[in-house]
Amino acid sequence: MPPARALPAELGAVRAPIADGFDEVVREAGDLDQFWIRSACGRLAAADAELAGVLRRRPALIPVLITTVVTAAVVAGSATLARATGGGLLAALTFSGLLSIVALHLAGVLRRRGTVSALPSPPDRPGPGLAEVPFALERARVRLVSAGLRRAGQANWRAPALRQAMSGDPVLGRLAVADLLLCQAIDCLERYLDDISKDWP
Amino acid sequence: MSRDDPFAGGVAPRLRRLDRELAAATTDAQCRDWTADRPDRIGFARLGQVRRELGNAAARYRTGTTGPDRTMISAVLLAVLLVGVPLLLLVPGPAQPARLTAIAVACVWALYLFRAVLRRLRIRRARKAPDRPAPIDDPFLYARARRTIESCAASARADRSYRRRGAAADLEYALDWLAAAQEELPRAR
Repeated sequence: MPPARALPAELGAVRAPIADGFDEVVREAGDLDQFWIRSACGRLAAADAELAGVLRRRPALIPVLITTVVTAAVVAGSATLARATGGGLLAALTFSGLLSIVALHLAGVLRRRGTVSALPSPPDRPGPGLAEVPFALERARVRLVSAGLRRAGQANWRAPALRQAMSGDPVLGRLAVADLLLCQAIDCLERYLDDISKDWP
Repeated sequence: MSRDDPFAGGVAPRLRRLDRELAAATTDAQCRDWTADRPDRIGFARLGQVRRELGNAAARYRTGTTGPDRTMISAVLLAVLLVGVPLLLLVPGPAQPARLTAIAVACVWALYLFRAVLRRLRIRRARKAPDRPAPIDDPFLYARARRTIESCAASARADRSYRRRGAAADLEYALDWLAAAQEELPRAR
């Protein structure tokens, strides 16, 4: 199916304007600690990390295999432990329940670790200016949305079905999160530009 | 006591309930924006900011706002009831490590199968479902959220713990974003 193969190229085309916009904001904004600028940079970095996560995603079979192996190890270990302590089925189930809670906790810790995004350092050539950044990001967003809609499939282009598809399909869910972060970044930048366009007394 | 009572339960469960409601409204508005049904890329972004601040506040209570999704819960129940329990009852000597391991692996695969089938069924059913009005346009959503956040901030401010008192500041930011989402502050263009 062509859309599935086209997704990395689409996402690359979305990530390039995001990186350019980030560079532009870092170069042009005077105060990087200003609230709107800081928020916009954070959202842009998070959106980029989200899209990179879509690209780096493992095939769907690998998590299934990992879960199978971990479950087998936990249950076999607890059954052996129950047999060694002289308990029956109930003891084995209790041990495996406790061990799986530990395993779930460890998995959560491992998943939460390491979501750091690295954006490229700004080049020296002059850019188009801060006021152009929201437009460029909005164009990037249009591409992102069309990639998401293509991923969802034509049959799901009504709001209720699209909502279910977003919660059901992990890739589409990540695209939706990236789109949300991108919209937040655009909103923050626009409010910053609105603030500096007024001449406060 | 009704379920929507803003003073029911501790702060963290109230925040989780509100976050679930806002998540539904945000996703719905985003879908409507994607399908150009109700094009508005500002409103759902700001509701997302509210959810982020609620998550910050919940993190100070050492809990998250995200619960397990319903599809996963029903898939787990189905796998345990339809595969795990019958196998445990039917297989002779289920306490032996090899047999118990096989049963557990069968349960896990059945869980993945049921989850995929349930997701597909939900999408299939939603294709024919009638469209409801968008919850982001509901003024009572904002009123409810504001009341809940204010009561949570009041209890956070009165908390003994220094760390949890910090949640009140996050909830103030959440109120700001909520007002911005509702009123659509002036923008550059």
